[in-house]
Amino acid sequence: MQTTRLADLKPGESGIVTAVAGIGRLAARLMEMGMVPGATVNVLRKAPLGDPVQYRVRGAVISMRSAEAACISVCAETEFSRQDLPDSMRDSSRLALVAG
Amino acid sequence: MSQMSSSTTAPVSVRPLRVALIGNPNTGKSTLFNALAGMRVRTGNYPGVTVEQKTGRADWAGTPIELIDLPGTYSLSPRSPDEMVTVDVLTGCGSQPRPDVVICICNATALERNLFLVTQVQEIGLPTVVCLNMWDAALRAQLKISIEALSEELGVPVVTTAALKRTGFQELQDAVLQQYQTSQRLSASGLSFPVVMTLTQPVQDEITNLTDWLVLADCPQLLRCPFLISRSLLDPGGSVEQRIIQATSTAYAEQLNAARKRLADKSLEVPAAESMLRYRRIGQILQRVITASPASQRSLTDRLDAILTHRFLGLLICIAVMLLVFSTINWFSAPLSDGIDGSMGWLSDQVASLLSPGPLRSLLTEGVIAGVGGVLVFLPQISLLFLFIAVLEDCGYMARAAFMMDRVMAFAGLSGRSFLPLMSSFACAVPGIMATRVIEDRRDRFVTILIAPLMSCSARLPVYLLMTGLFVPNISYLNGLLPLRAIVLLCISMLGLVVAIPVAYVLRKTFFKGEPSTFLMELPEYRLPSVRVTAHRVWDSGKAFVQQAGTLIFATSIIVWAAGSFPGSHERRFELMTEIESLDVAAETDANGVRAAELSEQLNAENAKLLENSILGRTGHLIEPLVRPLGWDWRLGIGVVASFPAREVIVATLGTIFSLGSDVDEENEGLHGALAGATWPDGRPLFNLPVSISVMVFFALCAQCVSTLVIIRRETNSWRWPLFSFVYMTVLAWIGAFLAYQIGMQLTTLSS
Repeated sequence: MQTTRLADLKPGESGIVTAVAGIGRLAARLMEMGMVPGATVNVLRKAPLGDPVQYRVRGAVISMRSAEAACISVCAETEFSRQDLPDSMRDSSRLALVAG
Repeated sequence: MSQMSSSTTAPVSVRPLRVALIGNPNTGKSTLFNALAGMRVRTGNYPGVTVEQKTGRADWAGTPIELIDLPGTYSLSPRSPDEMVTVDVLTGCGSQPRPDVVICICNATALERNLFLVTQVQEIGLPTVVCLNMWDAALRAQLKISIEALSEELGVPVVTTAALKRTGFQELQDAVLQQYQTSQRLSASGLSFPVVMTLTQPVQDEITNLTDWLVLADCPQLLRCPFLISRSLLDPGGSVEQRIIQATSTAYAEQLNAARKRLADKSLEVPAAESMLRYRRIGQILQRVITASPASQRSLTDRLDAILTHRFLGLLICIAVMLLVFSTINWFSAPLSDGIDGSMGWLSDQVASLLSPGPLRSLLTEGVIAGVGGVLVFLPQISLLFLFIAVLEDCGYMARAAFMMDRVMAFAGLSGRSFLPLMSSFACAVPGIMATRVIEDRRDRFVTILIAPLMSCSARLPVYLLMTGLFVPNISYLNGLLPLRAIVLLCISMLGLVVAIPVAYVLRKTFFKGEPSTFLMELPEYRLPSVRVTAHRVWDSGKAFVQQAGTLIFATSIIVWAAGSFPGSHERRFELMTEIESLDVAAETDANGVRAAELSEQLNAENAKLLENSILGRTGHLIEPLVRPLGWDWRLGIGVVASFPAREVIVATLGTIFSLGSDVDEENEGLHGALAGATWPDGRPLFNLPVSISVMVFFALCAQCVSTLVIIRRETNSWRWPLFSFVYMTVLAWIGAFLAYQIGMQLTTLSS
């Protein structure tokens, strides 16, 4: 699977997230907003001064700086398959009801 | 709100039902809150943090309700004390009991992202109602969402609302009351509300392990709630982890690391695993719930963005919008502020005509009325700025302006969100600092607050005009196109901005260290702003300013008035005033006119003497050694001390010290003459070009504005930061003025 950094995609291109680097606040926030492995991201447009960039992910438009988009790895949609996700993410889950 | 006639729903207790509202930003949460709470809203701060606490009262079917508006958030993963507030409110770990019911507000058009927070809230085990807001927009977009399926999947009631159109409120209220009754029935039979776990078994097992460990470690009961333990596990370096470690021991960190290691071995890496598990579950839910989503046609927002954030057009439009905003504020607030000034002057005259000169009249006219005026004069600017902010934010443009300006602000280590507050500060730092509430990141917000007072506000202009008018030669270059005075004015106005960049950089590296500022921001869909919401926000900001800052500003003006009046015997002054007022002056040339002019001169001299001997004046003398290196004498020292309430006061103070009466302004011929003629005891002229530049530089950088300091105290919720601002700005101002004077003198000596 050929991956590139999200920051290297050009407006109009799109990709599928394969990994988000880091464990800090930024990585956590990116993932909460939907940038998790398997999510499709479209690059919409750049700001007039070249940075930051608008992306569409999970139906919402978010903007981030290139430095932030650099920690997200993406691959082409054609190259992505469910098999690339960790085992624990592939099996089906069920709603667990825990009585307090 | 329709009243239900049945008396069965009336509660036995008088305690209002606590209902918390939580949701992502841009879900219309505030609109919904305002609509549900009406005008009965109270705002304050949560103790110890800068998060605004908004509560409102309502009455639903005879049940008194206390609504709690929580700050908009994408998740419950607190990484700062500000973010911890939400978790504290929901888990009841803060100063208040946990809410009885929580309403999760979602943007129906972006359900996938919004359900992330819902799945987290469901793990707390609070009676929950999910509210799909912006339902009208979802219908317009031809999204087909099955409410029944969503309710079944989540196990909680789901209602749809359109807050702007005020529809669906009744159903929402009914659902909340019903959920409350369900939870009451459950607790009557000894059960608590079910926790819905999205996290899989391995994670749950680790939570159980950690719970066992914490019981042995004597962790307080309140911190042992499963939700907090899961947060400590899933947010490395987060606030919950830190809090539990503090309450127990650092050994907990080892427990957490071991647990995270075991999860990683099962390819559940923290923190990625949480988001992946949740979004996978959400994907399964939505497969059943969303039955039709329209083909991805270019939305109106997308087409508007193509123009409004266009490389050239977008920038032009942004500049035009900012110009429009600030020129409108200028246009409308100037006459309004003048009107307030005028009515205060009128009020003063009325008091003066009723009371004879004496301490009471002096207190009322020079202390109380001037103090009230000093507060009210800000209101037009604050209201207008917040009107624009509300409109620009609600329609979605503010996020675009921040998006376009981010690159510029990044130079100072800030983000695009600081752009508007700093722009506003060029008019006045008070509304500018209030506007920093749009900045989510705490460190960015504090740095912006601390550099905002460096922007050249309109109160500095009188000082600049007086000094340039007096001592900068009236010559111009390029055939009169480029007057030297205008160049000096421009340079001195830009000085604060230029200094602010390194200051922000240093603050970012010292007091506000940490991960560099980020610009992860959602760009909401464009929509028409609501008149009701806009009116609410303008009203709230005005009220907050008058109630919380106004009182302090008022108190300070009284204190400064007293410091400028006492100690000293004012009898001679009051006699002179009485005599002047008793004279019937028909013409300036008649006997009475001549006498009045004579008496006025005596009065001015008396005023100057009183000021010099007052606490303020003595302080001016006291600090003379400090201001000598700036080329100033004690009179300028008094001016600086007396202008502590507001920079522009220096003009009037100089008028008093140089015995001209306090009614002078920067255009006053007498003041110009007096300043130009002022000398040191040895006869050298006091003012020259280097001295006047050093005065301007000082006023460009100093913090002589009580209102700004008071508003910093309000917005940072601590006296530490206004004190810090005052100290750092005064030091900067002194160094700047020192350099200006010394270099100026060297150049003067060289050239002569």
